[in-house]
Amino acid sequence: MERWLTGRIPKQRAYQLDMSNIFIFPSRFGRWFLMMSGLLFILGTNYRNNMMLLLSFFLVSIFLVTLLSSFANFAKLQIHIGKTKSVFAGEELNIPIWIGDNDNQDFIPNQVEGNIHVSWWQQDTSITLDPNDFTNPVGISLATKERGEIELPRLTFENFYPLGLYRCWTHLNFESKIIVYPTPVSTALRPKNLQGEENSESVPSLIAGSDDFDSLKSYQKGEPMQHVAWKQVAKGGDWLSKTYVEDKGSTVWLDIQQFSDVDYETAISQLTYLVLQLAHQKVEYGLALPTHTIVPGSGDEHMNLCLTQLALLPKHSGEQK
Amino acid sequence: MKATNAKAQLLIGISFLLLAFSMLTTVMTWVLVLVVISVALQALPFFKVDIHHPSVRTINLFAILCALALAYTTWQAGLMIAMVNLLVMACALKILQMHTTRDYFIVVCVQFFLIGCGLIFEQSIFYAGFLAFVATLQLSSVAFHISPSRPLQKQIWLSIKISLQAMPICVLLFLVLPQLSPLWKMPSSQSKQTGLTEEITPGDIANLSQSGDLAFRAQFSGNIPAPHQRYWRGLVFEDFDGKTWRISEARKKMKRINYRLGRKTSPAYDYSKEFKYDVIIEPTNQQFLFALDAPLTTTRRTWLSPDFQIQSTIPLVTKFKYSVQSYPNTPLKGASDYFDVNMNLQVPETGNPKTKAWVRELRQQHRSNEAFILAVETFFFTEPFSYTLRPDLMPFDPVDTFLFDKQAGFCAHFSSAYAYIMRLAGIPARVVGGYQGGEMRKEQYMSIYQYDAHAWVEIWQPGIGWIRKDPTGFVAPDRISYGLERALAYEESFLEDSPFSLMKWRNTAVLNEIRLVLADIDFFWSKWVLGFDQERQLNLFRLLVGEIKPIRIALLLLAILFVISLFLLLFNYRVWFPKINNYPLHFYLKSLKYLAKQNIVRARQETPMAFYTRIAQQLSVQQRELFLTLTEQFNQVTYQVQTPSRERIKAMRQTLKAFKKSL
Repeated sequence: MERWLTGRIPKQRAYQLDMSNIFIFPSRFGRWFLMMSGLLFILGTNYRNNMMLLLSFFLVSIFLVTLLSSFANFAKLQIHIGKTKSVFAGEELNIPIWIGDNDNQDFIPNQVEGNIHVSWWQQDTSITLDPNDFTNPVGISLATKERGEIELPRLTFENFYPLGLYRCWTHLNFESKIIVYPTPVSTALRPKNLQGEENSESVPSLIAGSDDFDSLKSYQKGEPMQHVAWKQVAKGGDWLSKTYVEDKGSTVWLDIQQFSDVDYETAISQLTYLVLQLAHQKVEYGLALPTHTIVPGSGDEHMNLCLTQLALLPKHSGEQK
Repeated sequence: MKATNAKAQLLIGISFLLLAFSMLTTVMTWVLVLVVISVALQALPFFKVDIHHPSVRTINLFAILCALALAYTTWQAGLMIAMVNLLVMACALKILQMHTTRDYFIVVCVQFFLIGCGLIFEQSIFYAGFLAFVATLQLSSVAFHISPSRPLQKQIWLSIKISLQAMPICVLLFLVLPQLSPLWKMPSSQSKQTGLTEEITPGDIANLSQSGDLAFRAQFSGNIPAPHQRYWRGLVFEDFDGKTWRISEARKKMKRINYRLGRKTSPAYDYSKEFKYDVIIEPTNQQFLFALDAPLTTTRRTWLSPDFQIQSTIPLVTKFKYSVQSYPNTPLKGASDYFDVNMNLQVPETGNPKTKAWVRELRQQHRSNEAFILAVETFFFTEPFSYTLRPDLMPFDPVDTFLFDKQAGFCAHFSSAYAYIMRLAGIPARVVGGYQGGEMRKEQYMSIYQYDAHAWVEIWQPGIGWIRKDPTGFVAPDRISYGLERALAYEESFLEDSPFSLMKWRNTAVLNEIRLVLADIDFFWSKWVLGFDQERQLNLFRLLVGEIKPIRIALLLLAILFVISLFLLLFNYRVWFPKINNYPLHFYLKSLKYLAKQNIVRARQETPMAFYTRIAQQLSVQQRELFLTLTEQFNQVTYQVQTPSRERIKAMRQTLKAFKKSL
């Protein structure tokens, strides 16, 4: 099933629903409806009642007519996935899904009618979107269990327009690189500094030093916003940014080898915790992992890089224990 | 399972209410009350009234009580009525606990089925129109369920649109899908037999005559019988107990045997005079049909019984159409005279002493049958008999009371007395019930109403057979020639119990015209829709494919399938031809598509003008000019906020055409 689906609906960032990826089948109500029409036909025949026969044929005709219109409606749907923010394992991912069509206003806005039900493939819980009343993007949450790059399960979109007789659905497989960071676990361990001396003076630098305000200089585009001297800006002055003391001695080196007394996954979690702490304290830090090392740096990008590398570490390491 | 939409629930409630009340005669009053309560309770949330809904256990308990009550109250009414009531009741209870989508859809399905049930009892075009309205409400309700935030008008328009699209397909299916014979016998409502019944007590027909309902319609091809020839034979009563005439048990048994043996009655038809006609009879829930004497029918599921009565093989629960040829000059003479004669000489031993004495005396004076009959008729002519719809009650010795005391009665009194006199005198006689008269509409069809119900007498003449005698005609010749209204003009009792019947206003030209046009519509409807049967279907096939062969029918069905698919595609042409909203943009994008074929592709962020300047060198002079014009035209409309007038769009289309050609 999975293989067949992969062949039919390959991985993509954006989908335009069409013949190749829409499935359509009478819904449960549709099947009842047909059965009831059959019953009316038998009743009409037995009573020699042409009006009943007409009613039965009328219901069947409605069934036929809505087949194409429900397909045509669903085929208007265009869906693409947005950028997903990484989360820590155990938290819920919020997958932004964009429904609709932005760049082709050539035609009447392709408005899909009827509630759209979105759920993860083979999951019962679904969220219901009213196409006349929703805002892009639609956040769809996905629980995470463990770190690493996760494969999004297929997302099922369902629609029953116009009369609920047919279920139109599709299982979309969105292409998206989503990294789930390890769960941070607090630790009392102190990172060793760049010089490799354990229990050195760099320990206090974890607590202080990073917020040491030094001087103001004119703001350069690209500098972090929290460095902007808002007081000066508010007074109507030029945009200035604060500079901080860059304590060379406070550069910290995080090494996974240090965490030999806890198991591998806990070590990764504790490292994650430390990375977050250091990033918060604006300390320059580097990461030494069994696979590769990351040279010291600071800033959000550096933090994300470190967290990503931690997340992507192989699940089991032979070197440990 | 999500909660259903309040609007959808409200609409389904309203349609249920309409539906239940339209079946007023079928659905029990207490069930109707239940319907009203459940719909009201269910509608409360819509009006922002919060009530504590009854728990499932309460409703289940209540349901058991209702089922018991239903079993008790519908015990007598027959299975079909009981089933319909059960369905309505179950639906009402389900509406009370319509919590999940599943519940809701069950209610919808049951209601569509109830529409079908409504059609068992009534099939007029007006009721059909009403049901179409109810169906639209139901479809709109479902539409609300599927897309809750669309406005009501849009939902109704959607369901009307879908219904209209379904119509042609529905008609095609109706015309070509085979009309099957009933698969098995269905329960019918026993209690609601209408029209004439299997026994006749003087006074009964008088009640029937208060009804302006249609009994049947006949469409003649060729000769139309004159008013005094319009004797529509229905039932033959041969058993008399001094008061009531009944269909004789012996006759019934004989008919059953004849029917089972497939023994057909075929009198010696005299083809010198012929009436040819189709009859569409209203449902009576009985099996006898009406025809002029002496009938010959070839319609399926009918047969002619030895008393010259056309019978249907199943009770008429719906309108039924049959074709008849009548040969009025045919002597009504069956296969066994002996049986007919003996059965129709039987008189009760007791009762009506005065009549007995009078007949004995008269018979002594007139030994020959002809003389005796003449004497009796003279008696009717000379005595002050009157024809009335308001006869006095005659509970004891009714014939005596009628002949010698009251001397005022309705056709059944006259016929009963006449036939009794004949039997006492040793002349076989029987009473025939049926209709006499009929209203012609523009030479097209004849309508026979319930008030045309009539009873007359047949007497046996050796060698000739049964001869019709209508004693009512002796007293009220207007009844035979002009109908009931004229005959009763002196006492103004015509349809006095139904003051609002349009029939009553026959003398007001406008109202009468309305009544006749309504009758025309009903006739058309009965003939073409309700009367469509295997025979007509085969005729239609013959018309379409000529001689009927399996291969031709198969081809016809294929063609119909093709037509249906064509319809379906046509209804959704927008899938292939989307509605173009912004023509300038559409044209510009088209030109980009043409260029893309030449491997000239616009970058995503490039403005039209920038794109033009970049690619200008790759185009020929003519192409360059055209594309520049196109780009400028697009820019004017899009960015300089000029309204895209028709001329502008036209100009752009032409430029695009030229540009395409130049590539």
